[in-house]
Amino acid sequence: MLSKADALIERLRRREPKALSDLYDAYSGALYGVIVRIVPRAEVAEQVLQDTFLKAYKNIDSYDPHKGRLFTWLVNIARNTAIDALRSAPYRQQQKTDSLDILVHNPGGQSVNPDHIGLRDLVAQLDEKHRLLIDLLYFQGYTQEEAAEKANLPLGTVKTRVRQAIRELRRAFGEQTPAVLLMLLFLP
Amino acid sequence: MDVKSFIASGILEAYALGQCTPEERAQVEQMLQAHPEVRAELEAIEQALEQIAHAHAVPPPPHLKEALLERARAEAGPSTPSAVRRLGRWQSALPWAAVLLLGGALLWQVNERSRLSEQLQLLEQQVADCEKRNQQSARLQEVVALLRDPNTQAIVLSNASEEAAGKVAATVWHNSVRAETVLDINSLPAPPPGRYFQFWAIVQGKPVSMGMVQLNGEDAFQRLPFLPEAQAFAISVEDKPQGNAIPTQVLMVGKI
Repeated sequence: MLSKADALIERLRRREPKALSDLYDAYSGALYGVIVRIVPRAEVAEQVLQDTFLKAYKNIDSYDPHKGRLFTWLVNIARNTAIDALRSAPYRQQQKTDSLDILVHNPGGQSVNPDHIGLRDLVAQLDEKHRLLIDLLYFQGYTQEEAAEKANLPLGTVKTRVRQAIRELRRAFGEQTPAVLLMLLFLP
Repeated sequence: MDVKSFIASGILEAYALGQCTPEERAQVEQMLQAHPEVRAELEAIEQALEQIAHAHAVPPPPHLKEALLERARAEAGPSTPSAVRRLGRWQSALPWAAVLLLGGALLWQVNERSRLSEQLQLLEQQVADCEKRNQQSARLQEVVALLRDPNTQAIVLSNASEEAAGKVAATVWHNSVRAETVLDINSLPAPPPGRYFQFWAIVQGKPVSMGMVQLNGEDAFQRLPFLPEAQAFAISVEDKPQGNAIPTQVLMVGKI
């Protein structure tokens, strides 16, 4: 049976113009959430989001469903594009003048997707040490080595805790499944 | 590698987070293909991460979508023809290709039809020629049979007038057993312009017309009526194509 995502991928492969619009509607919020954590400057983050979708649209043929979910592929593109933007010379220049702004920036506190408040609470309930690692690795694009340094932990511990964190999330989502499904039904 | 310890190693989480080295990626992808339980585990990890991302979703500014679609359209524009356009062109070309194909087939059929009809005509012509030759050959066979018959007389018609003596001669094959008389036309000269040769048999001292000599016939010989009482044969020159009742100028005569 063809899932909704499979059907969308098929339409993207056929380069249907409407397919890009649908892809954007389905994933732009979640991807933008990751991007703004890595690149807080709005105009750069917006550029990164656009670039992410354009790259995905152009390279959809290189996406292999056997190697992972579509969203995983998209979020990796988004993260890499954001990190590239962060490292680019013009951005660094800008960053110096904006440093105050970044310090004030509150991760995850920009705006809240009301559809996902339930899930958000679940993430918030995560053990603090797990939440930090998920935040660093998933939302801020740190490598495991960088995260280990940042959290002042051995690399092996980081790896173990990431696994524990995701297990914890899976368990939490598992319990929440009916509610989550209900919420997903009301997604646009 | 043991599936359980592979899953427990945390490599799948690293994979889902995009944290693997190329070697690790290759290893994971190989395990994914080989073991459904590894696939299921990765799927669960990815779903969990995806749900976190949705939980932390930040709606981008509304104008961004239109700007993105505009950029996608611009990049798919005429400067860099994308697969969209190529596909479109290819699809719009389909009906034309069909029309061309059909037209081509029709043209070919018309050509083929006219070619076949030409061939048929040619064949019919050849069959008719063949038939004609068969008839000719049958007639020739009869003449050959006549010539081989020991009862056949070859009568040489020699010139009647003194001045042209020996110059004009014709041969007639006469066989009273078979009751056949045949004139060898090839032995005759061409008549003067506006003049015609008439063949005669002399019966009881009087000339009896046996018809005009057919110089332009299909065969090199002409079958004549058989008159058993004929004593001699003669050829006269006449001024009418249908000949005359009495010979005008007798050219040659031969006795039987």
